[in-house]
Amino acid sequence: MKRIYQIVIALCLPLALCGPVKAQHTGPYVGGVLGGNMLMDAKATAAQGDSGLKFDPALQWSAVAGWDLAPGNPVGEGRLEIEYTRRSNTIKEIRFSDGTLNGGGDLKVDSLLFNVYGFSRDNRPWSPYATVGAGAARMEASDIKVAGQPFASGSSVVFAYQLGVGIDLALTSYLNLDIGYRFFNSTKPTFTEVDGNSFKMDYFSHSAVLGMRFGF
Amino acid sequence: MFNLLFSGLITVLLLSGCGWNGTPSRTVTDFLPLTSIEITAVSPTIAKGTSTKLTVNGFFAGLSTPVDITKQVVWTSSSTAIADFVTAASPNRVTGIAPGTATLTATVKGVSGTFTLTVSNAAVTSIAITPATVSVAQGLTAQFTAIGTFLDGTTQTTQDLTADGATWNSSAPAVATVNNTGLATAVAATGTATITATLNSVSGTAQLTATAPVALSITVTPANPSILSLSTGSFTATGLFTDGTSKDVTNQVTWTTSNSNAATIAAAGGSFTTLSQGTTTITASLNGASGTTNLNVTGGTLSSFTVSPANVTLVQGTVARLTVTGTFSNGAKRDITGFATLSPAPGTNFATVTKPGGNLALLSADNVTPVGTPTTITASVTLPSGTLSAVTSLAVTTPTISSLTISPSNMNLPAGTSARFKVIATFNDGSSQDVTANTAWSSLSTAIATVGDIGITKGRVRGVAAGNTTITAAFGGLTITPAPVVTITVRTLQSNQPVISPQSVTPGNQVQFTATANYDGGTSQDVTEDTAWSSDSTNVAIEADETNQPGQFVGVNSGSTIIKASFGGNTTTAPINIQ
Repeated sequence: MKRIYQIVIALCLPLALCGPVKAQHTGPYVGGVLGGNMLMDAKATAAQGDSGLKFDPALQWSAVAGWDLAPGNPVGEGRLEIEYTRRSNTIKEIRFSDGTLNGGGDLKVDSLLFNVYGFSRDNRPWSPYATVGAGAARMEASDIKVAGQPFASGSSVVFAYQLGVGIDLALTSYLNLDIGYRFFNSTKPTFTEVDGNSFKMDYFSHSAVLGMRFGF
Repeated sequence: MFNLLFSGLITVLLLSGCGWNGTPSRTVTDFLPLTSIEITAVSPTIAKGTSTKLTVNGFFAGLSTPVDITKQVVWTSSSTAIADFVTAASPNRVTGIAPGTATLTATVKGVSGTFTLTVSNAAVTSIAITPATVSVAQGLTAQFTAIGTFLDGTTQTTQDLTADGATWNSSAPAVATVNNTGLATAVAATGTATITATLNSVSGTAQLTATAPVALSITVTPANPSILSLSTGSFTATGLFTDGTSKDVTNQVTWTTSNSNAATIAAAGGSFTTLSQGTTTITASLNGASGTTNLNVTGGTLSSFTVSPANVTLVQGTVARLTVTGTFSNGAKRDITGFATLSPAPGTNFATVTKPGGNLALLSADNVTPVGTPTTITASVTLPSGTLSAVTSLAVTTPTISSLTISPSNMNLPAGTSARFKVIATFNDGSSQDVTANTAWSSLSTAIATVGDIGITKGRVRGVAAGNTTITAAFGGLTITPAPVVTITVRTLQSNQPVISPQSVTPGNQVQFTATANYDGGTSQDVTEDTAWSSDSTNVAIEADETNQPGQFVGVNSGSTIIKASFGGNTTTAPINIQ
């Protein structure tokens, strides 16, 4: 079974233990999120031409802090949040015009986003939501190799944004479970090759996440 | 807000797709370290005055197989008096200058390799060219190879001189040309050229015979048409030839159909007949080249049909119009008179049937039939599943004509439009018959109005200029009295004329468009017969019969298209929807 499917199943297993009750917390909260992400094949553009990067799926984790808005709040039905996330994907292979070679090394991403959540609430204990966030990400090319040979390294800070949908389950008045999907994208980071040339690359990430929030 | 975010997310996902799947343009050798290079040649020894090409393979760290990097190399020779790189257009070609040994060095990305080349004093004794004879169609090429035999003392060797020393020539450049690598091109449709390869005054020859250009590809038009069942038409084949020209080869190709139940096609000429609903591939072939198109036969498969009028009685010497209406497997009904075969009873001379064209069939009552024993007219259609037929009877009589009546009795028309008179004859046996098609028609002043007197135009009056004229209509020795008066007036069309309305119809069925012209002053005139009709897409709807059924369209395939109506210098449009 593909690793990404194993991740999704593992993330969903805790749902079997949950007995949801209706609650609408308002005020501050903190939480943690665990998820699995899959990077789309990326185009790397250099002065010498274009090449293609393929990545392995990987786990990601996030820490969040925010504020649940009270029902009827003039801002809207939802919450405001600061999110820090760590992603790290191994480069599986690199496509060139004359062949595909094994890759190596990791692309590590630390992002700090300001998220806004909009909810569709009624009398059910669960509420669907959509979210949009924006901020910055530091991307690090960690010892990237091609066919065992050093290729690139370095880091780049870029603008990043995130879109998502999911379901929020109120387990108690202060404990919420979040099951969701996130799409994460950034402007193109620039990395330096071992010979001093540089390249820019795409970054598109699809993630399935499971989070827990504690209100106080 | 929620819907906006959700829509945005879906849009971004669609845009991002599954990642980049483009074609890389960067090569692995751009950054992998080059560890060593290897130089190879066809032979380490060449004769003085000849040349050879060198190839360089590079070995890169991380790659298990070498990569050809010949184009990246910089060459040097240890002795340019013995061997040198003198061909600017081909930097890796080395030429033997004088007998001896030279070390050739290739350098790329700071890595060097060497190759030892020996230049012998061997003299060429003969040159053999292959192929010795060849026929080449105009515009095509043939590659010749020159192998030289060399003698150095008592040692005999051979060397490929095709691109390495031989000088190529054609005896007739108007027939064939040859370049410096032995590649010959036939530039004429006929003739023979002697191709010669020469080195140090020793030559070898071959014969090239130029022939007429042959087709490289064939294009069949119309491309992928939809056409109603029980229709006929023709495809056109255009060939692209080796000399770069293209021409109509419809009558030269062989035509075939992949599904003769759907449509048949004549092997020569491209004329086809659609039979049953379905698809078939039409192929045009010529000397190994071919082109295809897919023919979609629509409108259902014929189930049955009727002939009208049924059981008709006609006065001897008169004619009537026959119509065959088909019922199809998809429930459609349409006029198939033009496709059906209409035959009088074999061995009789009571009647004849003529088909001037389109869906028009005229039945002529030639001789009187025995009382109580009418003759028969049989309509038949042959399909792959068998022949369908329907019969109508005809009684031909010889009563004496009593009177003629015409309608309308007089006529007012705007100039540029037309309308029809109809003549009914009454006979002494009490019967009557429409004899419009048998009446002799004439106009007193054709400068004011004309009247048709041939075939389906009989009795049709067309206004030419303002004024009055009388029309003479005569049949069976009688003349309409008083003669009808036709008054033609010149009127000004309002804008956006003629007026036509949108129509809907199912595939295979007919629908009638009517064109009405509105004039200043509030008058209007039906100008359907005076209008030129057309369909923007004949794959969706076609005019049933331009001559005999103006304004009638048949649905071909589901979809919509625009029907254009042109009258009086104006063109208006209306959609037709085939459901």
